[in-house]
Amino acid sequence: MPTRLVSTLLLCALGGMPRAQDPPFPLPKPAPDRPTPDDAEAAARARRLCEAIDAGKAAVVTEALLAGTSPDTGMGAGADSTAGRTPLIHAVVARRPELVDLLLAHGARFELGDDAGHTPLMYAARIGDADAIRRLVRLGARPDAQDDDQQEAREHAPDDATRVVVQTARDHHATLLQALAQNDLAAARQAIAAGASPNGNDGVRSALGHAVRTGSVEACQELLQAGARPGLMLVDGWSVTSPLAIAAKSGSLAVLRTLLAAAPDVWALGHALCTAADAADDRLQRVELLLAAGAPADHEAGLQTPALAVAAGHGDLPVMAKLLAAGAPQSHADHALLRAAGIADAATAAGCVRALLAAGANASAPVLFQTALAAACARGHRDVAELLFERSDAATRNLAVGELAGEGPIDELKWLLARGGKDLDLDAGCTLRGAPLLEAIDHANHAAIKALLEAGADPNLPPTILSDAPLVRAVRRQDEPSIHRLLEHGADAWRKWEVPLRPPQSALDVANEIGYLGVVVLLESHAPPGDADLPPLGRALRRAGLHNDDIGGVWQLRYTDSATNRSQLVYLRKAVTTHGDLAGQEIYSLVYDAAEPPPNELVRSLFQQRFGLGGLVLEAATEQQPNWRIRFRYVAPTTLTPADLAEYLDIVQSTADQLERTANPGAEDRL
Amino acid sequence: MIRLLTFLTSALVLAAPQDPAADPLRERIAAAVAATGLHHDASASGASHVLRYDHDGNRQQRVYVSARAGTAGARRMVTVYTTVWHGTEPPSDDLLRKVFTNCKKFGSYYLFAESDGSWSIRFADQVDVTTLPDRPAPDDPVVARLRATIEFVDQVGEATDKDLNGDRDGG
Repeated sequence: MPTRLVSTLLLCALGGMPRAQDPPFPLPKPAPDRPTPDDAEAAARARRLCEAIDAGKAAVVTEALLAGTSPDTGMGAGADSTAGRTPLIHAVVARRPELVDLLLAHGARFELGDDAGHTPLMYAARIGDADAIRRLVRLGARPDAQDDDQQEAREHAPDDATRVVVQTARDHHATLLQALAQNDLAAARQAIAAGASPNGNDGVRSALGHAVRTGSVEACQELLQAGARPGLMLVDGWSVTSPLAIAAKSGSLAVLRTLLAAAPDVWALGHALCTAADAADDRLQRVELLLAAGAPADHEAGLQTPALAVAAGHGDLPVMAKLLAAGAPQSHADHALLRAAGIADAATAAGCVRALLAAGANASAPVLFQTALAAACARGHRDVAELLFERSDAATRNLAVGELAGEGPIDELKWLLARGGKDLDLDAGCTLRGAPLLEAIDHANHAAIKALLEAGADPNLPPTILSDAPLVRAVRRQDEPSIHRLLEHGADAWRKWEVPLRPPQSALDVANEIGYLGVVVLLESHAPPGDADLPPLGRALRRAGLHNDDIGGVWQLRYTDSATNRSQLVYLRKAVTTHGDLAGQEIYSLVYDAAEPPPNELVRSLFQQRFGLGGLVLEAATEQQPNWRIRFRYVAPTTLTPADLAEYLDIVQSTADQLERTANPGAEDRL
Repeated sequence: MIRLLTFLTSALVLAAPQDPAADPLRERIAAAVAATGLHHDASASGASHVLRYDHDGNRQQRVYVSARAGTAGARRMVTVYTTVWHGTEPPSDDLLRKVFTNCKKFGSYYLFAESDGSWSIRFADQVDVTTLPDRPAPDDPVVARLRATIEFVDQVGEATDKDLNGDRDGG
């Protein structure tokens, strides 16, 4: 006993004894999310913003932007003839420079134009506002931007004077870009001193951005004094950055402080906060500097990962604590959980996930159809996965199965399938992801296909308007191992699937259609389950995919003619009739069905008709069958193909319906 | 409309006059009848192949195979028929009800007004010849079905004839 006590104390003193019940790093609770406006509300807000700009109501504009109205969403095209003008265009056209500044401070983008690609600068040129042109270029608008007709701002100028203003700006711009392309900061500074915009850029490079990268505080200060904006948005396709964001992530702390001293706008601070959270070194200091400068911890812009989630991806609990304390919202904490669960190091992931869960992160809040549960499984963090499984709702668990079915590790998928057991809905899909089995087929993940089928996934999952039946999908992908797996588990190659807007198709039809002939033979040889118990035309009926009802000795099919609004029942008898070498199953449809015997004239009239296929038989009333009937029938060969059977059924029902009409002209459709 | 057309083509095509040369199936049908190995002749009109069967009591039954194919939807069908009753006057209502309620395993009965003003009751069945090859072999499934149908029609024809006409051989 004393030995064990000594050993325990020694281990504790060395700090080498892990404790399973360690309390998580204490993270503050996230702030509540701002309500997200729906499409109608967002459109109404955009209209109010643009109307306030048109009316020059600065206070209303400020209030709207602070309330979260997008600075880039216009009133929309159409009846109002604004043709997609952005709020910035409205401000230019309204000749309100202070509103231009206000919009830029909230992240308005210069490169966004109206529906024809006309930028705010082009509008300034169109209205011949030389001051606005100079101002916009000085703030960072590109004079070489082109509209959808490949025309630049100078080509929109209404007069020579305006054209000269734009051309001058463009010439200075070209000189600056040449210097930046050669990484010649001195030449760039000279170009700016000679009249080029201090915010001139090509979407990737700017003078200040270059100065930040070189780490020159002096150059940064000079450019800032010349009017360079730390928050200048550099937009290159989907990539958006700014000098401040570059400094936040990889510049020296001195450079970052220099830029922050220039009082960047709120949007730029928020954007830089996200990149600071991704910094390789001094992450906490950078984040603290930005928060102290007023960076909003709840900043969101498009698909940019929130700062809290970025920090979580690094397992940086102190930075996460700072961000949460500064107001990072619930949705960011949920996103952070996803990132934390996917950290490569198991211990770091576990610590981070526990801390986030303790702070209130929601494990049942997928981000872009990705779940923390699947992220943990994908890394093989079984303990974390177990923790997240317990906290996930049914929909999240199903989604996680779908994620792992695509490219996840097979052992983790099997674990999740076993852990979820019968509570999992393996046939559920979501908007972007199909059912897990379809995900596995799409990724040719044969081990996952096997695991899912063994766990009970339906190999005959009906298709939807957006997705195929599993076997049809595998055939389209010409993936033979997937096809084998599905057939082994009872996928029906012959079943014709009915989907709106598409003709009914079986996997066999698809294989024939795409000329996948090797598989055609394989599919043809694979009888679906239960097929052996059916009579020959029962199999053909099943493979034809025609809806029918089993009513004992016959299958009943209802045909409806939308043109005449008449319907007709047709029956396929299950019993096989034989005589010598003849074998057949009767197809019939009623022409007459009444308690009274049919009039003699009707009998003569009907039975004088001859048919290419089939004939009539009269049935007298009996005790079991109290009505008199006239049936149109054909005893079809048992060797009919599904397509042939479908044609025979159609011929019988249409002929019978026509005879019914002939027998009872003007009467109601009864059969 | 489509249903109406299907009906009309299936109901009327046998009665519609056609140029024999216009039916590419005609030769193949003749070859199929030959491939059955059953002795046959052309009917007087050339519209059918005739097969004569002898039965006990010096009775005979003639079975006809239409020389050209009728149409049902997209299917091409030959009709195999035999006469089970014939008279100069129309058959009585009782006779018709007796015959038309006599449901056989395959085929069906119908009333036929002959061109000379007399009346017949026939028994008929159809064989699908849509997939009949150019030179059908005796073991071709269509040929086998045709032979079995001819023999079945003969047997039903003879039995019905005997039932309706007694010793008088009507077939």
